[in-house]
Amino acid sequence: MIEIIDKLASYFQYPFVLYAMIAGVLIALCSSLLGVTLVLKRLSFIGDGLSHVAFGAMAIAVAVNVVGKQYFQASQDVLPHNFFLVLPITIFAAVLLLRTGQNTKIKGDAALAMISVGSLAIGYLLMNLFSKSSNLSGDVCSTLFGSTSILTLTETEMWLCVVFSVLVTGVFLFFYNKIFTVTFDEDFATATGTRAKLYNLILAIVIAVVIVLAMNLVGALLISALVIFPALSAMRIFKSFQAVTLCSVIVSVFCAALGILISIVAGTPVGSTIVVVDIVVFSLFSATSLLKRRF
Amino acid sequence: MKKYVLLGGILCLLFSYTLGCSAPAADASVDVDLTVLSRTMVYAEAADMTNNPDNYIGKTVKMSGLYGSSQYDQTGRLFHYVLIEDAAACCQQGFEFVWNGEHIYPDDYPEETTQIEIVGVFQSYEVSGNTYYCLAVDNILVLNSSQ
Repeated sequence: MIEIIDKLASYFQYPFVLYAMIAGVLIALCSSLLGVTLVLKRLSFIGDGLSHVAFGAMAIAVAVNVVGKQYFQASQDVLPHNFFLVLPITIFAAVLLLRTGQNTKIKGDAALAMISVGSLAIGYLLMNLFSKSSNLSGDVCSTLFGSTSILTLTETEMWLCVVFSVLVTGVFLFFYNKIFTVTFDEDFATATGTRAKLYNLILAIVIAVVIVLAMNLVGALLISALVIFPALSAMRIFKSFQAVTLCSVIVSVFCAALGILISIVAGTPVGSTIVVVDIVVFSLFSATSLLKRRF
Repeated sequence: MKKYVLLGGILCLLFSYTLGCSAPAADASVDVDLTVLSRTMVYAEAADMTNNPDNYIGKTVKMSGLYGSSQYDQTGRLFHYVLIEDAAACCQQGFEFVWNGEHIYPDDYPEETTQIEIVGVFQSYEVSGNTYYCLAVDNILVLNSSQ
């Protein structure tokens, strides 16, 4: 045990480990805050759909940089950071998805499936056509499964994560009562004068931000786990919205931190390790809930 | 309940043993020893060397990985490198090295995809106004052949 602590202490001397831990914990916090709302609104799968959109947007950003470099003969990327193209596209898709279901010909789940799989296909096609490195499968694998991308964050990217995480948490806390109302009964909220459409729009934007941030931590294919597992774990034990949200945050931050620590010590992929820790905690919470009901 | 606590304790001990056991000690004669890090950390540190090369200039680095070589068409120059894979085995980070002294390719060099270990000084050089980084090594240790 002392050996592991020594090992971890030596690893924390590397700045990129510190950046990964800060960004990982903040991303986990944000995703768990929204997870409860998404699960209760029966939109658990939206994270998956949006992450595919983000993957497609990432491929567009790569293509823009490749074409831009050729066109302008520049040595630098045209976009200062892929984030600035990926975020607006993902926000647009989130708004589109949350608004479907009402007055549209293509209903919710079909629209989600269509956008999700379409983005994935376009993304892979663009990455093939405009690959910026010789290791295409590596680039795709890294974007889809996170791999070690959280450990390769630069200081600027870490600060970007901090700023957006603070914004997401701030928005959630500021609109907590409204989000609570819209989550449980949208019709009632509208009838009592709450601008449900506006809060759904805010929710869509915040979800998109979280998805784009979380892509660094666990990769596009595993984001849903980060959103739903902590919320579902908390729901096994607690019943009130506030208690579930608080518990979900604690569980998510704990799982992300433990997952990162295990992966850097044991040499396992970061994203999948975090998700496995989430699954173990969910199983423990489910067992506890079962025991509580029996005795 | 005691059973669960006992089971949890045993699992924790097994888990900590698995994580902590058989970790080799770092080579004190080098500044950066990638051979003692976990696979995740090796890749992350290799990426850091690429992202922030100035932090490593002049440092002695020890690394192991698959040997590879390729020729740059425009200049005809032959590059030798070590490939470091990430934990998911999908991403690779190639590190160029220059073998000090007179060595003939391919006779003196290992076969492609052979696992090698090198110790060298991290340094930069310029070609056509672009800065490149490499390890200047004195020796190549072949760990195991790919054949």
